[in-house]
Amino acid sequence: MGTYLYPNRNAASRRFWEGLRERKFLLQRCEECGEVFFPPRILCPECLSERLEHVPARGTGTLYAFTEVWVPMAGFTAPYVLGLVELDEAPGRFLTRIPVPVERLRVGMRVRVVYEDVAEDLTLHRFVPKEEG
Amino acid sequence: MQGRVAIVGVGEVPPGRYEAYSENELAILAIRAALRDAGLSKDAIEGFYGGANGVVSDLLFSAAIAEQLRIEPRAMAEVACGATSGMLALRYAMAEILLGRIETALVFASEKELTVSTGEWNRAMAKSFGEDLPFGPTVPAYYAMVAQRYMFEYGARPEHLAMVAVKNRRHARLNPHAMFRDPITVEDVLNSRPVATPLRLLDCAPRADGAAALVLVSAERARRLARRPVWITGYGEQHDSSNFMLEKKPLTSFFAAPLAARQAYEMAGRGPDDMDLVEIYEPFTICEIILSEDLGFFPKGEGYRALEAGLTAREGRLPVNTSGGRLSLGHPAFVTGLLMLTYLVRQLRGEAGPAQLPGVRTALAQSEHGMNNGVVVVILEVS
Repeated sequence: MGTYLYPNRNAASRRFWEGLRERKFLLQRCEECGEVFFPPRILCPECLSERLEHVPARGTGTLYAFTEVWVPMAGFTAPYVLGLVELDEAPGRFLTRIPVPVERLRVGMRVRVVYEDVAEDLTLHRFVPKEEG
Repeated sequence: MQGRVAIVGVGEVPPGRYEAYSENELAILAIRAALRDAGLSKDAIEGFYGGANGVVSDLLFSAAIAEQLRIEPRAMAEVACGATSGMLALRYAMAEILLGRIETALVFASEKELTVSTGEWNRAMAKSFGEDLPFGPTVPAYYAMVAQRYMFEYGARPEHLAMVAVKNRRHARLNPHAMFRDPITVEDVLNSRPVATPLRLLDCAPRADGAAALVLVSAERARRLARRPVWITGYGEQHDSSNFMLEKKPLTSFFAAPLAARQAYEMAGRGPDDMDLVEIYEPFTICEIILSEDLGFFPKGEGYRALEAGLTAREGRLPVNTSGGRLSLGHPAFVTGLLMLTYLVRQLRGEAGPAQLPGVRTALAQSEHGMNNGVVVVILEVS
């Protein structure tokens, strides 16, 4: 349980974190221009519309890069593996935790989302190689 | 080539550990040094511009410093945009001089990064990490993934990263301002403790306290001063639509860097091949390799080969980071941009002591905020 375990909360991301609790990885889709995007925003970053809907992603993607962190962020215990994932359904990439020994990882490998309840009121996404259970 | 704004004075508190001094006191020492170097009295300062560090700067630090120096400038501003703040304060001063509002400006930045509580830094950085925060991100971890991806795409190896650290340490030996001057080998880097794979301790620039100040004057004023002017002939600046990690663009090229460089080259009427000396912002070894490509010196994916061939060493075709770079000079991040300029000004005047290179007439410095989400490029020349 780390000092910085909790995300920076804001109006845009509240629903996303709730979604993780429900085992859903929610993207946003703009009802005006059709842009699908992540991370969460209160306005469409493309056309600035506020008419946004949440759409669940399949949660599959590609591992762009990863690192084994030996000098941790304050409150975390090293080593742990961080990765950048590109989802199949939304352009862009984001940071996640890869709870898998680093030896089993390769740049460009297929990954899928899993969920971990890390606290009473917080569920986080992790990504693992797609063939694993 | 003559420009329209000249640097006529430089001063610094070199990167190091200054436990007893406040951030404002470090600035005051650098400002006095710059004024003495310019041969100007404090009463000459018409514009007073501080680069704010956004983490631990006092509210109204510039007014507090003006009070301690007993100066009464006609213009004052604190300029902030991450680690580009210092160079942005320089740009603000240039603009004021070119508008004709003032003739003489003092630009400064100071920072307590080493002797400040890491808790303050962590809290400040945490805000930048947004949705990434609960996963335990660190700045080295992001750059580690940049390094891994670069190696994956272009075939570089950890040895190449290490060569940046070894080269810059060899350079630092000749710079009395550098924090770390003892020679290191590629093996030393590869055997240093891991920070975030593939980056190791010696791939990372050391935190430092420090300060820097520059005196800028109009071309007309420069002609009336004894000090040989160093002209600001090129300035370029570009910002990506991302805050920290580039969300959509490749991580193996920093989008804003080639655009900022092109603006600076165009303004100066110069190209990459005209540069005699270059200071690149490398908080991590990988940054120097990628930026040596992005700034137009080498084709994409060939920066590490140029490094390996010795082209970026002091003796090479394009000497990069002969100050020792961030890796060995030391890295008070919010002062680094101005420290690059004070170092290059001395080189251009032929006053760099043991570090002096022959025939330096045109030089380039680059600074950035975030992960090069925003980049500033400055070109300096002597006529």
